[in-house]
Amino acid sequence: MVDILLALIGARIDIEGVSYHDDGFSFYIPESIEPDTVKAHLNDIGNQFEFSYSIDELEDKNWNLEWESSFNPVEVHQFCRVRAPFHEPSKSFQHDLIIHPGMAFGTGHHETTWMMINAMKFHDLQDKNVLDAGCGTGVLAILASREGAKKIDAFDYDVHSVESTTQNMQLNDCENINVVQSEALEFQGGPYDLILANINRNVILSVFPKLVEILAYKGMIIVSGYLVDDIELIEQAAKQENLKLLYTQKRGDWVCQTFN
Amino acid sequence: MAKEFEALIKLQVRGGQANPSPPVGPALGAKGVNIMEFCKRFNAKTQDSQGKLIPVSITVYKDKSFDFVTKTVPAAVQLLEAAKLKSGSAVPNRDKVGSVTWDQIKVIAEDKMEDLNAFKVESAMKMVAGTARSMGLRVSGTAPWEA
Repeated sequence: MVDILLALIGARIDIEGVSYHDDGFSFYIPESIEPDTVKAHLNDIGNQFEFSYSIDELEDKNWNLEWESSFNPVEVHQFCRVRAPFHEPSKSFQHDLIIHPGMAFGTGHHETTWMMINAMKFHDLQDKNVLDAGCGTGVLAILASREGAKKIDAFDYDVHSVESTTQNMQLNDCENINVVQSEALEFQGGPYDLILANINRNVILSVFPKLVEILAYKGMIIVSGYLVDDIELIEQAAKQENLKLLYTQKRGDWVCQTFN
Repeated sequence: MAKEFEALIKLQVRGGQANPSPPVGPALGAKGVNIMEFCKRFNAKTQDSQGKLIPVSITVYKDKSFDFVTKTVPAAVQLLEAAKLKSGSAVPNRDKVGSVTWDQIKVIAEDKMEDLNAFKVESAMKMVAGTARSMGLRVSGTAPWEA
């Protein structure tokens, strides 16, 4: 019966998600929907089913705080270590980055970020122009800055990520990163010697032509965020843009590939 | 060694669009799970069902690691879409507000086979038809096994 009730609500109201409890369920809607509109729909559905409800406003907060307070540093060989502000610094690594994750993606704990960092160590970024597409915490842009890149642009469609990148730039004293909030297809910039794109399969497939457009002559693209099953699709899309596959990394079910 | 169970969290999240805001943020954050890792994995797994509300059961272990299982779109949602309706009936037994065909029931049943624990399509079709009737939908025509 819960599924039927939820289906009826979902057909009328644009639900963002649902969580189930022992005594019912909560559904989440954007602030833009007026509570009175929701009440009117629920009262109408109430003619069919007997249920009670309440509407609450949720505060905007960092839900990741609990995990953040206990995360362990991530080490990518001796090349790079990603740690939280509360960890002690280490001199055993070429780069020791401080990342406050907040509500953004990219601490190195995920296989894809780890492989992106690992791929970056094979490229000389001295005085190069770099783009971090879908920057999340900004960890890759910050690493590019530490590796000597001249100018780094970074963008993300998510406002939390832009805030996180800005905060992390300050934590790591990086001044040559320019971060903006933008959709991938609307981003303006380039040409770039290296484009870093740790996003997901669908976005990468749709933005490949755009990335190639803003890639410098002999530039390189490192992509990740997709699964082993999606390799063929990504390689086909890259081929259509006349990109040549240089190498592939796999970690767990995840893939990271470098093209030029 | 088997991991020690901490909690089972049941949510519905839009395919390919999980993000750290509610319901994912508060549900997983309270258990100390790395929310962003869940989002990345969930989005990769559900990118072919972009934008659809996908039921997901997340098992959280004592060491804060997690596994999750996604299910197909609930039968009730698929039935409303098939019948092109926004609401069910106030009195399902008496007032029928729309109808679906047995062919539509079969498509939904095949999609839901695994979630419904059905071994035969026929059994799954009977369950989906039952859901349709309790929503006030008429199943038009004759059931294939009665024809």
